[in-house]
Amino acid sequence: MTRPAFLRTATLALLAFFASGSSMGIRAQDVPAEGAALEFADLESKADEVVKVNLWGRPLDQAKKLVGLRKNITSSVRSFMNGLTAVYRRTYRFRRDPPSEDDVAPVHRQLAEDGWVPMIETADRQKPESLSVYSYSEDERVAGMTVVTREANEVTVVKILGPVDFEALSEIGSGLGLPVMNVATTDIKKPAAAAQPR
Amino acid sequence: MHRHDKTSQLEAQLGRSLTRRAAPAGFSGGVMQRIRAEAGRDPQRAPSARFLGLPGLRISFPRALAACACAAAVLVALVVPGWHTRRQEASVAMQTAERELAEVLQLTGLGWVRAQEAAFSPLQDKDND
Repeated sequence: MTRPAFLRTATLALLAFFASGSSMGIRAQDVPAEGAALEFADLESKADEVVKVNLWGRPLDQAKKLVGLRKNITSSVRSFMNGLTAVYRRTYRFRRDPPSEDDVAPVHRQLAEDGWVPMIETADRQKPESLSVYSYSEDERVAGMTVVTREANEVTVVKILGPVDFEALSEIGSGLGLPVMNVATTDIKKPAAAAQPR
Repeated sequence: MHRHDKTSQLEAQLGRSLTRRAAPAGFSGGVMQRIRAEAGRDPQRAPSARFLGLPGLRISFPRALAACACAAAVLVALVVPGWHTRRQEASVAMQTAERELAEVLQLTGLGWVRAQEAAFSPLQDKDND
């Protein structure tokens, strides 16, 4: 190979290397259908603050690995977490007008249309609070769970897809099984019963 | 006289002398043919007078190498900070994903526990009894 030809080839190879490097970033992925269905325009327009979380695929796998590295995480929680295929969260915060049951009705309607079955529904007549737990079954197995909570100034919808281990969920909900580390849990309120040793 | 013009003149002189004279001892016919062909070319268009195929860009190999190294250094200086930033962004995104996953799990677990407590509260058990 002559020198100019060598130099030309070397330069082109160098340029091609750097050009390919610029496209190494994480590609944007479309939100899967389950997450796309979790859009509630009325609630969003009324809310003063909206939190949206869509985790699936590679980011979810990386998050699972990092959470799995935490100390004192129980094997049942780790196993349950590793089985998850997608997690979604929608939190709507209201500073002025508290959310009513009518505001949350579209959420329940949407979940019913998507085949989610209500497991437990609770409401307090004296307080503007309600809590609903939905499940989704596939092949006679619970393959997903959605929790809808309405509080005085907040509506939260969390949806997890994957085999559900209720015991592991109880461990997490009781403050055991999943140690809280570097987590801003200002909006996570523990029940009074969980704070007392059983 | 400009250096480039002088070189061209010398090359032209060499070409003329080579076309007139017989091949020097030790030079084969093929070699002489290539020398004559090269000398007969327009210096501006001859392959040996080009760098990267660009006509009129006369540059020696060490200088070409140095130019390439400079270009590579500039490219690295431009690309590396961006790459570093992308890595930092990816790291922050991973930490955010970890926090979000933990929060969603805690919210779900909390909802489940609260729902259980509401559904199977001691008050309800007492009523059932």
